[in-house]
Amino acid sequence: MERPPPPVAPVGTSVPRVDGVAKVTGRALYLDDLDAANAWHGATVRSQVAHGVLEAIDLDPAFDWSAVTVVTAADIWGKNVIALIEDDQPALVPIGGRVMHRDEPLALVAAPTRALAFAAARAVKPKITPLPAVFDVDQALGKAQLLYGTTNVFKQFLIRKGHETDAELEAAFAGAAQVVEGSYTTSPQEQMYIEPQAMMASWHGGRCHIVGSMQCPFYVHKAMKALLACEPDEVVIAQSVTGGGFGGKEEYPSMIAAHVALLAHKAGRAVKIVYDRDEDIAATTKRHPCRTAHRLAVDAKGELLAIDVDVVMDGGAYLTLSPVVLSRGVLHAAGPYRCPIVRVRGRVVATNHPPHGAFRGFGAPQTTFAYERQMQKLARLRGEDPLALRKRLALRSGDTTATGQLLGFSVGSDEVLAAIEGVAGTPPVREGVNAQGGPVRRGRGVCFYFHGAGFTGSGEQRLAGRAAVAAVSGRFEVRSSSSDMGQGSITIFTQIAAAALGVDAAHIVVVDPSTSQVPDSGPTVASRTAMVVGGLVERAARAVRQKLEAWAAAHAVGGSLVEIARAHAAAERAELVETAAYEPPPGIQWDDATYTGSAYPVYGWAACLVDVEIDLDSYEVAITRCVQAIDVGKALNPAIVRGQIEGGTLQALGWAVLENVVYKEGKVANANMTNCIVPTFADAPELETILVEVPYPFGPSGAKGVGEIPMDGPAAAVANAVENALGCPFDALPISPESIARARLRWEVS
Amino acid sequence: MVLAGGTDLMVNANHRAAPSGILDLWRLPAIGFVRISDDSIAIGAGTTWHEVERHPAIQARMRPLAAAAREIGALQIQARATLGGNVGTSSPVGDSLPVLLALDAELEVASVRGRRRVPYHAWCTGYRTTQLLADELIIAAHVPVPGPGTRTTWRKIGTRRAQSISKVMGAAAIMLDGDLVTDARVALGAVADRPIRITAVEAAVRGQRLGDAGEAARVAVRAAIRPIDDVRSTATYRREVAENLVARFFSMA
Amino acid sequence: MKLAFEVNGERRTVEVSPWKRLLDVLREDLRLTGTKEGCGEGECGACTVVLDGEAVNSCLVAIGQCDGRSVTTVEGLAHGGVLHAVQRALVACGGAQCGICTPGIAVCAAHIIDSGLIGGIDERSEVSPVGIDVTARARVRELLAGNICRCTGYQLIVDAVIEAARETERGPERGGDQA
Repeated sequence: MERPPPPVAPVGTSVPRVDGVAKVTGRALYLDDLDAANAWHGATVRSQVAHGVLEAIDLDPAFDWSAVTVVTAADIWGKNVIALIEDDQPALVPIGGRVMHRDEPLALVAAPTRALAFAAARAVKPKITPLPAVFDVDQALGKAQLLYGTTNVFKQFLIRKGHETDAELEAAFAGAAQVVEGSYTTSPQEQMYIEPQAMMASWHGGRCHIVGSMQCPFYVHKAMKALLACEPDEVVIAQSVTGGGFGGKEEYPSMIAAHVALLAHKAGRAVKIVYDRDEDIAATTKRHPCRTAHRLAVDAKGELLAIDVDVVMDGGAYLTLSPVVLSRGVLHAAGPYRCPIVRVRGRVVATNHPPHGAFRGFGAPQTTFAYERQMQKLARLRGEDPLALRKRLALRSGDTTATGQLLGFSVGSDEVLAAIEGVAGTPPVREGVNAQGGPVRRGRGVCFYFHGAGFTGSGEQRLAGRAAVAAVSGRFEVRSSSSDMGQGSITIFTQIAAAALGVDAAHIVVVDPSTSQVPDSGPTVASRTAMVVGGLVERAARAVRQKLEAWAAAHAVGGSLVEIARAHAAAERAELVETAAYEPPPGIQWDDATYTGSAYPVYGWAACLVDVEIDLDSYEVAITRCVQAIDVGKALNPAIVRGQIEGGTLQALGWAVLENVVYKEGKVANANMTNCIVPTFADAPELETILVEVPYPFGPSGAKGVGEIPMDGPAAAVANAVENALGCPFDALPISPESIARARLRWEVS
Repeated sequence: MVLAGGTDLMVNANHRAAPSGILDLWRLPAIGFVRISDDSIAIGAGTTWHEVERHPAIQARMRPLAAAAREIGALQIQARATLGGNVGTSSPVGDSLPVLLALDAELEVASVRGRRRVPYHAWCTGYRTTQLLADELIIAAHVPVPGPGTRTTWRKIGTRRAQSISKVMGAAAIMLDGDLVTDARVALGAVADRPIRITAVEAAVRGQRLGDAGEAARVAVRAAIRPIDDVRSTATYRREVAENLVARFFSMA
Repeated sequence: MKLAFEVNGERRTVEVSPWKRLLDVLREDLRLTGTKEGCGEGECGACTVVLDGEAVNSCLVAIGQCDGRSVTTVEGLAHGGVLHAVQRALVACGGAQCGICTPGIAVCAAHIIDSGLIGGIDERSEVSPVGIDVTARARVRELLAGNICRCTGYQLIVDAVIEAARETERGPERGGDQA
């Protein structure tokens, strides 16, 4: 048989995105671009009280309700919950039920036009008896009000390494040559995907079809089965082209899916809900605000003796994903450093803020900020070069992590540190003037960090993700539930499948994820899409190729694989489908009870350098240089990987100096794009990206997760740079001009 | 509703009922002009900030106005937002307004009863309230060209580098005889319910050498303004940065 | 109110309230859904169109003001089946990720290239009245600052716009991606 020609889209090349032309021409269809015959528009009635009892929902009698459908909790025939980890969050607060946060959904309306739906929503008058609300984690821990269980603690963790009692830990600190201690706070952050959340539902013959902007069709599916009390095949969830997610569309879409499903059912027609930007900012999930107390002890030679971390996160009003966010936060809290004794404690606490949720990094950016500020302080205390310190203490192959994981393959710590050192060049001079002649201070900061790729511990085994490849009349379909939200999974899977099949990418189609058309590959989160699901696609594609080549040999059919596939389809009149199911790499041992063992199958490694210039009249921080060196295992498509890194980096730089979510009495006070700002073209520095490849043997072509890691580090590098410029610590985000001005008396005089 | 570029009035328009009547002034020739004379430039109220920013005479002879135009929103806003809109809306954070104060502009307004002129320093009477009567339209701003011994300057501190609302902004016209300050007009925005001239600064710097004027100005600003805390910034920050800006205007003049 | 205006070179008529936003008329009445709504307040630029030769936020334009005027949307950037240079460059450079901001950026970038607003591509440091470094990349960043992208970090978009501007300066080339 002839050798197939080499694929045109080999793995490792920057082939243009499959969906690129559709996007630059405006032909890609996002949810609000989709039309359904006679679809109505939905709107949500929300609580203006942060904590209370919903006594009644009245409809203004002066309003004309004849063309409006109204839905309340009383219309829910299944379980009034958004099923996720626990079933504590209702789809709509029932009469007599507790309202737990501002902007919580209470009722829904649908009408033929958006304007009428908005007007109708304003004419719905909820009556709520207020209860005292709690917005502070310490007050919640002090049980000022009971919001969750008997302690207000959604979840807590305790990790111990190298010791068994607190007394042993204290002894290690008592015997230290030097101790560095600090408390670090990070702010809530809005994902600000440019496409607001949007979903549409319709019912046909008892079956509910939901389409929308989402990251996890099967999460929505699971939630809808409970809400609609239906069989798995009675509700179909499909992803429309999604304009950004970053975690913000991991679980919240289930809430909106519930709302459109209920409205469509009662209205007897398709109903679409598209959130206004202001509503999206006010009501949907944010990055968990976090306070991390971090202590480290070193001996006279500067080796780490002990690390002790205490993490407290504000989970908001419902449990949602908080246990998993806290988990990742605590598992990264000790940092990528060798240390024989580690204690990490973590708690995520209920308050009357709107629930906090997933955002790129998922707990790791918060605790990374703390440990990299600590390492900076240690370097300053010891008078040691900050990169030299990192190199000295970094984890390498053969070292064990805070959970006792023995690191083996794909540990790029030396490589990323060397890469940063290689491009660093001369640091900026501290005193200077800017282009207008005004005085400035300049500084450089670095950081070193890591990010576990994939689900924690046995998570991937529990997910049991599957992906399929099918030969369908000479075309090859990739079937997985992974959602492309801009990160390029459609293109990556196309490249992987094309390479594994040995065919041109033009013969590959990645089907749109719909729960009736694709297997559950697991959610599109946790930096697992290329590494885990891509691996499944590769295996399934290889299996299809093997089967087709075997058939060709048995039937004496020659030609390319595409020709063989066509011949097979004609002869057998059936598609050939191969499904690959997740198989854990060898040696992954994880104990959920003690939180010890291999927390993640593999880690990404990264180092970041930031130069800042601080205007001494306005205290504004300009980021004049930012370099990231990231070990991604293998860059399956370098342009896509660069794009991921640069996007995550700028989100981190924005979080560091520009972005904030301001709560006033539990309501987002800056709920519009004017006041809840993100970086513009003019705020972004020229970003430098160094791709490092230390391959992971169990990832497709050696790839490991990259989506989240760029978010974790840069904020600490910025804080370190500002400290080096001004000579005093900045341990709270955002490092706003106001906070720099407030610290002026503590700046070092040069 | 009197509508020109709509960059303010059309925000969230889909959530608001249509006004009972709209008077559309967009591209009305009678208010769309830039007229140069020896000692002043008349800018029609319908002139967009993009047109102001690119006008060679404005760039050459009243640079701060071109500079302010370039920092109003971003390109798409500058293409529609007008001088008349900025002046008529009279927001405390209107980006061009401190410049008009510092350059001592005069507004021309018209009604069926005729035309009249209002010095811009008397125009703002309160929070988003002006001397414009209900039946009047703004026609133009007449901006005197600063004399040869006058240094003009401007700075906006926004929430970010572009497409931003001011936290503090200032503009100044400093009249010099050698290094002696003979007179000054100093204006600040975002520190009160309207853009304001800081007459205390102007009194403090008159007759000072430039080297001393900065500190004198700083002390005067500190006492003269009462900015507020809001969702974008704090009173303390605004006061401190306002002092820094004004002091710098003099030390860099 | 009956209105007639030109969209992508074609005369269109609508009968709507004059207060209806140009963005909604394009998307709902003309079914040109390429122009997107990201914020409704002129902050994000996803709704950018060219109106009478200026890039504007269509969410801030009342349709009553568009009678007799000329609009270009993302659907009108390609000509004769050939993508505009900036569209081709965005695809080639990887400047589009989720793509929701892309139509607004493509329209604005095409406008600043075609109107010569960027200035000389290789011009070196000239400091503007407010101290902005106007090397071409900085100028592109300033001109596109009204378009927010959350996915890319802007780097590859700037690469694409500079590449497209260079190509435009050099003159039309043969070939190019089909629209």
